Amino acid sequence: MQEGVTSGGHMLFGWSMLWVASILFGVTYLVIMSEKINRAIAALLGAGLMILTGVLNQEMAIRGVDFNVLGLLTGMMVLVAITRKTGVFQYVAIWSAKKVNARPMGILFMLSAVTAVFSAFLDNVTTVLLIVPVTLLITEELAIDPYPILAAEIFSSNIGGTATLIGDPPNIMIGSAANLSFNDFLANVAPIIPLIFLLTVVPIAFVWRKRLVTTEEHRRRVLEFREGEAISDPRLLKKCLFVLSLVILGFLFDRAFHLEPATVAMFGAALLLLLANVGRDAEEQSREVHEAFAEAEWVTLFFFVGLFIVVKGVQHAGLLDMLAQGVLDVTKGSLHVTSYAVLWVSAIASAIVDNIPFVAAMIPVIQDLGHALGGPQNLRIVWWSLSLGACLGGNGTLIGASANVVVAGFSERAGHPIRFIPFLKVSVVAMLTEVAIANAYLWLRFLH
Amino acid sequence: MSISEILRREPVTLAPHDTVARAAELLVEEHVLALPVVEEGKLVGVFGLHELVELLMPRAVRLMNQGLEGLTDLDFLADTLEDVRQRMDHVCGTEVGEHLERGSERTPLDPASSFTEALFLGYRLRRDLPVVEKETGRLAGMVSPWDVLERIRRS
Repeated sequence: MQEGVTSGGHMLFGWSMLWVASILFGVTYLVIMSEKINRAIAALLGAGLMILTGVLNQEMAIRGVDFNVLGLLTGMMVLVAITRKTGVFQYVAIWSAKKVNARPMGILFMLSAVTAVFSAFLDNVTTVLLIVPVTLLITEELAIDPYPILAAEIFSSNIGGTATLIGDPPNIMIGSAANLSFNDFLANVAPIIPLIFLLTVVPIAFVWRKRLVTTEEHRRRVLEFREGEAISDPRLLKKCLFVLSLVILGFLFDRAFHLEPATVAMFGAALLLLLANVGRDAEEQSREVHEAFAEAEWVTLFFFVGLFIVVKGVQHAGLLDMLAQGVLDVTKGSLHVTSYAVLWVSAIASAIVDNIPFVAAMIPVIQDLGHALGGPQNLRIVWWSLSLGACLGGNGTLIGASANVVVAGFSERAGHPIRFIPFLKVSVVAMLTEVAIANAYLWLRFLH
Repeated sequence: MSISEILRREPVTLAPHDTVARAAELLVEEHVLALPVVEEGKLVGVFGLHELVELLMPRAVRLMNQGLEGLTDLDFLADTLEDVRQRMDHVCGTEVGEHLERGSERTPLDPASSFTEALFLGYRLRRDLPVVEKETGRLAGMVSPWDVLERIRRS
């Protein structure tokens, strides 16, 4: 199952390839975790060294890069960059706050739900960047502490992201590597998400109910918001909604047409660029297209490229086979033990470190387990465990996911700092509850 | 030919602990777009109309300059002039030192800089520009594109 295992072969200074690759992998991951050097730089340097030291050649390195993941991410980034300008996200947030008569408790629930739904389809960081300003505006008008609502939004973004193939990068990676479709995630992961959402948000609202109090006068101010005015470009909005619907349909039926998600997302992006720019002169088109592409998160994309190559290096050198063997030795090939272990280890690891590098390294390990666990059907359960663990684990600490860090940063600048330890007391309980629910779900649904 | 001949050598200045209320008063009285903030003769930054206007907006909007993207326009707010006045009252007592224009303590202009350099900077920053003695970092004076235009008219 390995292409040309040469782990016994000697290279630089007579060191074995396994050692060189393992050291490069370890150092790269340590540097990424330390956050002293930008993660894209660290991953690309690690990738370059995998080639320079001869662990991989360039051709093998490029084969390690999952372009389906990159295409899907880039396509969605472009779609969001254009849609954002219409003001529709603001509209939905204000509309939802007014629907509950601007009562703080209701707003906490509604904005959390909006965050979860958006996160299921958009990048989590993008979602919170869109929701946090409106949240701060509303809490300012209500003269309440935004902390409970912001915390609920952090949890909701990670929970919502778990639900779909495109919700969170780990799912994109898992789906692409294991050939799991949008519908597979919808049928196997999404059903438990509403319960996890409710059992996270309701206790939060209850615990902080005393902070969620305002006056009639303040509520009236929010009720006077005219959400219709938030839509800045209705014509563009129609085009965006049209293309986004097509893209979602594309994800739902991609298997029927033998399409990969990256094709759907990139084609959608190209189509929306066309519709948004048709009738403009060449210079204006070039400016608009440049702007839309510039808003793609290149740091994330290059981070993925580097990471894929680094992981390919250790995989080729044989380290990940050894790890998989180690996992089997511990779990004795039991599907139950393996699934639960993957769920909990992923959750705890993802609470402490970025879930993207963790999942990138776990994927080849789990792929190696296929035979021992009784084939691809059983392996799917382990994939769901990895997805649920890695995505929900992000709720464990304030640094568990990029979205958490972004919300904390803006909250601090708005004069309401979210501190690591006080947040930890809530987030650990939330995360353990969520993963326990996921564990019960895996058991009832698949391992019963 | 350098900007030294059009320099306003003894400009009105602010100290970091001056209040925003005082700064607002001076901006209106002096009819300038920005005032230098000086501590022991040295330039520590600029506080101008732009910083003042920023303080009159809801807090969430102020974060937009720092990377938040969610607000595309503010037509949906039901704000009145009274709300703006309330925000003004709220910030009036704070010190200008907390609200300096970011990076404004550094300026490339010294008395030997050229007219074109002053025009270029005025074009980019759209405000009055502090001019600083190169060796000491002391404020030498203020200059604005207006001063260049007036000099041209006189010659």
